[in-house]
Amino acid sequence: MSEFEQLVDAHYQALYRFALSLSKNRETAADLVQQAFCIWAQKGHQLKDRSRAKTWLFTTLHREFLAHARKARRFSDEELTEAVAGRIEVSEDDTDRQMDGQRALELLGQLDETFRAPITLFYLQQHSYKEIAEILDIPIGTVMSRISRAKEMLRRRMTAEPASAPKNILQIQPEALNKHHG
Amino acid sequence: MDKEEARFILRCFRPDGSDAADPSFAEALQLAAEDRELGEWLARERASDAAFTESLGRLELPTTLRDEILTGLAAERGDVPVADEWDASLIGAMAQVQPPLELRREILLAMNRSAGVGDTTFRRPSWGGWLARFGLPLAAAAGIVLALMIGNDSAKPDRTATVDLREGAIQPASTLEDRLIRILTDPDFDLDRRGPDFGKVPERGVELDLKDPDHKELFRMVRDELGRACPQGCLPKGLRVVPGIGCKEVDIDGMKGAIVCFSRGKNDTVHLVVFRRSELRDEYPIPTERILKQHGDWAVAEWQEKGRAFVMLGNTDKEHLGEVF
Repeated sequence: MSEFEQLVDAHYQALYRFALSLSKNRETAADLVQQAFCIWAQKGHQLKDRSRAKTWLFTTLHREFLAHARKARRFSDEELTEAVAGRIEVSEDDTDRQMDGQRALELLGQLDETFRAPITLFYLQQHSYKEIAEILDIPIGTVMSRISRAKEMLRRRMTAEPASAPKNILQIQPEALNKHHG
Repeated sequence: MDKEEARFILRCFRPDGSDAADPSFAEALQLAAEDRELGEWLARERASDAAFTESLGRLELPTTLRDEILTGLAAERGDVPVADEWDASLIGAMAQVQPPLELRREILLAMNRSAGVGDTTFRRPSWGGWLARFGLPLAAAAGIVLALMIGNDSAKPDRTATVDLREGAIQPASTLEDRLIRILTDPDFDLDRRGPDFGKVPERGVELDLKDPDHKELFRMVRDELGRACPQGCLPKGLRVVPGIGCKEVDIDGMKGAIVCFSRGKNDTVHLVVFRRSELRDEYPIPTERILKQHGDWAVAEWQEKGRAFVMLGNTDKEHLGEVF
């Protein structure tokens, strides 16, 4: 197996989940993951410490997402909602009373973008909070603060919303698009 | 450190224990081990985080994502993509696309029209006037060129200096001079090189078959090897006194001839093409009486004499070419 294949196999799933959490759109998420690996193909050789490839990939993906989101913001509100708002179709799991991926993503999607990124990275368990700070290019203290607050918001939502709430469609909160990340 | 500070730090403690060795958690963990309330809080926190993490891990991924990523990486590395059957059928279909009839002539006519409009006192108009005057012919030319590019990419210049006649292909009704000029303007038509093995027409490139300034040698080859004897008397006077360059066999739709190239000076090459009159095709008539005309950038003379049909070409104006007579 080539080095590229090993790298893809090691990280693409977590990268996709991170991208999906950020973008709320399956196609955009796949594009972001693809872009991150393509940029790796172009520039990864510059990274001397290969053990940092994972952090490098997540950082790159996050940057690509921000660039994508900035571009999307140039459109009108209607177009923005259309272009960026995603409908994530996730497989249902009616019989499993445990929270499924759809529900988890739905809950994350209700958070503001500034909280969504760090808490998703935390729950993916791929990075320490220091690495999360590096990926998102924010101070360590800010990461800790946002993770703490995000958890609080998630817990409130989990206890406030009944399990029978609509699960199939996750839509972006339009007001969240106007806030800057970082 | 108090309990609230410890909670703040421990909220970032990953539920799978990956951060156990991280010294930044050490003090908070120690406090949780010593304080029952904090310890129970930590246990609940880790259980809750573990459940959420597990839920997120159940998120289904697109089945083709991995392959798409690897394909993209292969493209970045410049690996040649393997065309599948679907690709191959499209490639084959595109290769069958032929340019419209008379396309080349129309392009040249449009370009000449655009270049030839106006006199020496013509002053460059405003953009609006320029577009009004040149826009339509140029737009037509651009559209035609684009269609030619789309249709003609698969028909790259033929290395054998013959016209590529794929079976069943619709032939554009271009003239003989069109065909000859195409050969002469082939980027690989190299007057400085001689081809490898004479006699193998399909494999031969567009190099000369013989490179020699001596007319006798050139016409000996034309006679003996190419079978297109050209009596010396047929050679225009102006070419008898200039050095030759070389000669080459040509095949225009099965009509075999020979090109003999002469050098009248720097960047002043004259190409004389000889055919047997009996082998002329109806679609490529050559007048019996000599005519001299301008064909774009090329001057062309055509005539018949002593059982031979001649086409003489030069990348010059017809007055200059006509001086050889």
